[in-house]
Amino acid sequence: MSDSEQDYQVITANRLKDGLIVYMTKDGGMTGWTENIDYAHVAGADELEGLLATAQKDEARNIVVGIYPVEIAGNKVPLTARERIRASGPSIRMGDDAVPFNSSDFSI
Amino acid sequence: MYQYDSFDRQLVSERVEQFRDQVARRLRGELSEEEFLPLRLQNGIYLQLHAYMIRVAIPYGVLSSKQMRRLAYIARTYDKGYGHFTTRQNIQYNWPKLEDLPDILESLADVEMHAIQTSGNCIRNISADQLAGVAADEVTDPRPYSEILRQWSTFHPEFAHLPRKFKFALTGSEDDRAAIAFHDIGYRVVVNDKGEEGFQIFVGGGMGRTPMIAKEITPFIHRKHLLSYTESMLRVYNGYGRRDNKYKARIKILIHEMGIEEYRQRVEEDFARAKDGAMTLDDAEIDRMKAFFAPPAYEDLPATDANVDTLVAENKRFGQWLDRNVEDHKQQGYSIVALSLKTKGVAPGDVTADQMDEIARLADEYSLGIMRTTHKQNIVFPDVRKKDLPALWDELKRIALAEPNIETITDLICCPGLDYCALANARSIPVALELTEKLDDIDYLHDLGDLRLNISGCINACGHHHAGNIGILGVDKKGEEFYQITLGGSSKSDASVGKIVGPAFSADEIVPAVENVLETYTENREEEESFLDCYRRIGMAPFKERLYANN
Amino acid sequence: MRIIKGQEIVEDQWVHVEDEQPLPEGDVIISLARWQAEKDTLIGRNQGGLGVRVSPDYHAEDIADDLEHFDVVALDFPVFRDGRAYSTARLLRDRYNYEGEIRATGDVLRDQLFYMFRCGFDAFEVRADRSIDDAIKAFSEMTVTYQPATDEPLPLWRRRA
Repeated sequence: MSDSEQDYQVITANRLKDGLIVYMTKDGGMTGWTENIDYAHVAGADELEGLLATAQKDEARNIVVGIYPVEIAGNKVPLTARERIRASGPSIRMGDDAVPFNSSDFSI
Repeated sequence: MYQYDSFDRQLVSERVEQFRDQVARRLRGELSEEEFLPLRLQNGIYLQLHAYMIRVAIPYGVLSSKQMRRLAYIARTYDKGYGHFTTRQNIQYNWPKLEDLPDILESLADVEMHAIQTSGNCIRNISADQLAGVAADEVTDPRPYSEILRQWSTFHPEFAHLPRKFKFALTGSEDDRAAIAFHDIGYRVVVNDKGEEGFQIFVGGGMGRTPMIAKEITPFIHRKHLLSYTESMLRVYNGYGRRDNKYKARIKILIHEMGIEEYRQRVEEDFARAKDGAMTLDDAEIDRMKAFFAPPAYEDLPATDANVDTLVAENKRFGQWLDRNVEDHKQQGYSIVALSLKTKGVAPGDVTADQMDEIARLADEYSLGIMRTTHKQNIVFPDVRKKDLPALWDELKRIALAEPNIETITDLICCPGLDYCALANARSIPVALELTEKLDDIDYLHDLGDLRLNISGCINACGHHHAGNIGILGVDKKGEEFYQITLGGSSKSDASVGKIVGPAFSADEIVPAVENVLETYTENREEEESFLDCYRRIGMAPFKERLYANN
Repeated sequence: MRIIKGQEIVEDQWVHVEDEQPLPEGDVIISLARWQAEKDTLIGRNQGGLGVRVSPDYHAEDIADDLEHFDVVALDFPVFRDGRAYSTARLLRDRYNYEGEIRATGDVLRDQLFYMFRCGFDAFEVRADRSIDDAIKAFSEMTVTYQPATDEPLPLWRRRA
């Protein structure tokens, strides 16, 4: 079986009310949205168009914004750096995790 | 600093309610995303890579301790406990929910803050010299005029849908710390030979994919005409700036294509008709504004302090901090102290909520409750008594804001890059962190001296790479991150745009490449020669040879 | 069709006439191109008022000489982001002293109306798929204005006291 780029895609967007990245899920006939790419539905080339149409309905219903398909490798790792960072979050430590001091040391 | 009156308060709170309604209409589906986009942008709200982002205005970088505490509160309550200070002296939060944003704006309004026009194709937050009012070399304090321009530009009905964003910067000093040459309009407050205050005005500077140095439109316009002249400048741009191509829509392209002479002529024609109208500033209004920024009641203090001198002798690190992070104040016995937001391991410009609270406390204790944000993404305490320097240094060390690296290579400007930004091609923060990690020998940094390194994650140049002595630009090659190096940029009074050295480097190669650039400099410099002077003397070739020696 | 005029919703008596169509009796709005082509006959027309529809590619000075013939100048917004007509309206009012109607047409949305009003527009053809009853709320959202414009001759600092 070939792992050519077109073989695997997931559909992504941002959720309208909080802006967080979501991926489309599909269970039987039901579709939904998850924040975790591991639970995303992997679409074959033949079903992509239909799924995008479904996703656009969710956009029209103001659930998500900015829908597009993302090419992934077989293990659900996106092919581009941008999409890998979208899937896994900022690659750097943030906030209290980054600052080299312990806030509990404060004696305010 | 400027204090709101009932009009200002009403305007900001009406804006909050207007936006609350717009968000509700968006969530109900009465506004499409396309229609909502410019509305949220004019309130500083983006949809970024991972989430919404709100950019809060800090007009010309002036911030009170009370406001800083509120910024900490917002970081804790509505975000992930931190904020990011930007190159426009603003602060951004990376994780707010759309449904919380009206409450965030209401909370800001409560301390006379807002996010108005921090984005969108309008006149953006006005930036100014962070040392305004305290710099030893200042001719005139630009803040009163910055505030006059801020009010005039706020909700200006004619200029809410310009071809593209529009940025003002002001300075009142010969030494340009506000990068006015890289702004759509740059103002320098000057005094003519009759002793009258006015402005030397530059127009059409900018970064982005077509970096340009602003051109002088007038060597002197009397201060009373500040608003009418500015309005004419904007009107010509609004009418004739390109709207067919987003990348050619900034005023720099109009000036480039039309020519500064033709542009000046059209502005002068419009100004001739508008001149001496209701917008003409009178002395009463200027004096009213100046009163808000009058110097505080400084104590009569000796020029030197024995304890400071003793500590310098005893503690090398304190001496290095004084050397790099502390500047002379125009008032004897006082100093200007920069808090470095460029600490090892921390994204440049990021500050946690706990640090914000501590900064607010220290500002109250050591700097009359006022601080400034800088376009180089640091914070400045403008009014510190010299004798308090040792105590303040101790406190700043404790909260990791005393890195003695101001204006050294690790005091780098860095955009959020692909870790946060929807437009980015490559990550910039990890490059900054790796560089800061590698270059952690303070003696070496001090030996390198003044050296501006700026990093942008894409050609939009939010990280000001064009103006870096060393610039790093992230590019995308088939979905992978690469980095170009530019050399020779400067945003100071001798402004210049950096030039690309050669082919881009991979993420693994970029930091070693910068180290090669530094070695080339240290091997070629003469005595006290700065990196920029050395580059300007020896040119690109030696750097290029070293960087691409193996290819 | 209902439009907003003088900050009230009214039934519009004006008819937009395309270039190829013959002019009906009554108040008509025609394109600037048609005005320029048929100016001589149009000046003599006495079956109703005359309005002209102007694309933002034209500036105030392009129509300044003919303003006396127009009861309505309809400034078109091909897309709401195109802000040129704001300056055009201001110049028509403040520089050329045009006192007829300035009407916003095209992509005219609630959230732009207040700025349009401040620049001298006094009639608004709200986009057909939007609620005009909702749009009219735009005039009561903001009450404080810092800078002078067509609606307000004085800057706030001359009004603060």
